[in-house]
Amino acid sequence: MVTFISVEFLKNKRRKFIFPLILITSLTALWFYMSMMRVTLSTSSSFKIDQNYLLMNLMMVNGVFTPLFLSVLASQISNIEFNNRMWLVLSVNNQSRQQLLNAKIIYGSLLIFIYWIMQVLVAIAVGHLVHITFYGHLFLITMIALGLALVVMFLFQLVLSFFIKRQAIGLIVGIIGSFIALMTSGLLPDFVLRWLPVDYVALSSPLKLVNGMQIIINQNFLFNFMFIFSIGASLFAFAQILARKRGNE
Amino acid sequence: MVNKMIEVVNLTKKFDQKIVLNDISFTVEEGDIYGFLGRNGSGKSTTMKAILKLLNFDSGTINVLDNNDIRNSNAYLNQIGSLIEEPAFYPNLTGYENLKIVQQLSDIPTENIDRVLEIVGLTATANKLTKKYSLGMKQRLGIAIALVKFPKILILDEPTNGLDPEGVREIRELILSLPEKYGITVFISSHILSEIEKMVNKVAILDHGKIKFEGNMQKLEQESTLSIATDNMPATESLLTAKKYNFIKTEKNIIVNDASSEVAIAVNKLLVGSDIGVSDLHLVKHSLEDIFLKITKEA
Repeated sequence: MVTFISVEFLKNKRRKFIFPLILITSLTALWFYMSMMRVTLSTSSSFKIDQNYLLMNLMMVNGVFTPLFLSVLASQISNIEFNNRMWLVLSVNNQSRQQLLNAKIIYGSLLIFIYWIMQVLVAIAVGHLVHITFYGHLFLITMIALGLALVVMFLFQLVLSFFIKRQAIGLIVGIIGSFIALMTSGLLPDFVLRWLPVDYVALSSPLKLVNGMQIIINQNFLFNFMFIFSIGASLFAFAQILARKRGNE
Repeated sequence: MVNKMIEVVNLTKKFDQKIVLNDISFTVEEGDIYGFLGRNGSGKSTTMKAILKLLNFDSGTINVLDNNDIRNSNAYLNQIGSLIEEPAFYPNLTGYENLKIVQQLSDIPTENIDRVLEIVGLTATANKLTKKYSLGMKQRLGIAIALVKFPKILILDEPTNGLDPEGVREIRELILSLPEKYGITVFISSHILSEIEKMVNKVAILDHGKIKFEGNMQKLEQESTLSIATDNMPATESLLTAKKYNFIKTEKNIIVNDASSEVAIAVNKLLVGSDIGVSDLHLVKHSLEDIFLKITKEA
């Protein structure tokens, strides 16, 4: 597998898709920072600016940008094979479709890990700027939930992009996910969000807003976390079966 | 003993209900440059893809490297290099980097890259991005990717497609050198029959999913016709009919099919012995193109 991952890095050399990903990551950080500063500086804010608010805000902003980020990532690392008809070359040189899929899952997850680290650092930095003290395990739990949601959403997008030649489909799903998150601020009921893998960041949040101004711990968090994990495991299993079934064709 | 490098037995492949390959059989032996000919859509690429396990087939057997049934393992792919349809590579990488990918996947020595670049004449442009390569350079890179493993079998599907005459000649000379210099058996398809004629020692002609001819070039070249002109054409016709020769009559002469030197001598003796004046009698050796057209038109 090390060889396959090394090959993924080599084949993506000089590709420009990394720039939109950097742009989206920067926009996420900027949007989060601006929204925190706006509320912090506002004299009429009805929110208590504390750890809960920061983490909920972080998840909301991520809910908007990550569907786009992940759809671009999944599409770009898949279309390099479609566009250049590389399936044939790879499969006659010891790389099955399943091995290729797994290499892309790991390669994409490494980029997602960098994105996740950036979110952790930005959250800490913004928290420091607005004088928020982190306490208990909520920060860690939120970040783990964000990480899980990112990986599962990526798997969902990768299944679309890896098995469907028309890359527009995955990208449109990502755009729709971002649009829904933007319009609803991730405040859709959990039972609706469970049907939208592209908006799992909102579902994974351990915090939720009630009565328009009160931020509380989501009582369904553990169930949602396990639900997202199960969907991720099912998507992984489904992708493995599909890749094996398609073989080298 | 000559090894069977590829043995296809009763191979059948259907797409939906359309039969693309209909019970085809042929054998490629060690050291062969084996030409696989057919019109577009005749099933050439499908056969090649079946050998490479790029598609499943409905029935039949494909044995590679002396009776290794390809259904049992993928290990044989390490001994096969291929260029199917058109060269495929990553345009954002250099020629060297593209070969590096195959080298890493196939776990072969790094030195093979420089060696193969030299063979295909791309050493000077190895560090140029492949998206800037000319068509000929792309084709050569495609062959380099197929060759970098220094496989026992090389499968080339239309390797001279889109090349200028000089490029075609270069690729031809390269392919011709492979069996002797590197011990590589070549299985090649092309629609440029004049080119194939200069390269191959054996040939199979595929038409509508069926093998219409398989054999060596000498056998194919024996498929000449005999052109006859005499002073008594009706009597000539009667004699040839009586002796059950397969012939057709044209405006000026009679054409005997499937002729050879022996047939020419026998016909000449027959005519002269019957007191018919022979004004012209000569063997017409057909090019591969003529024979190909004849075989495929008969269908």
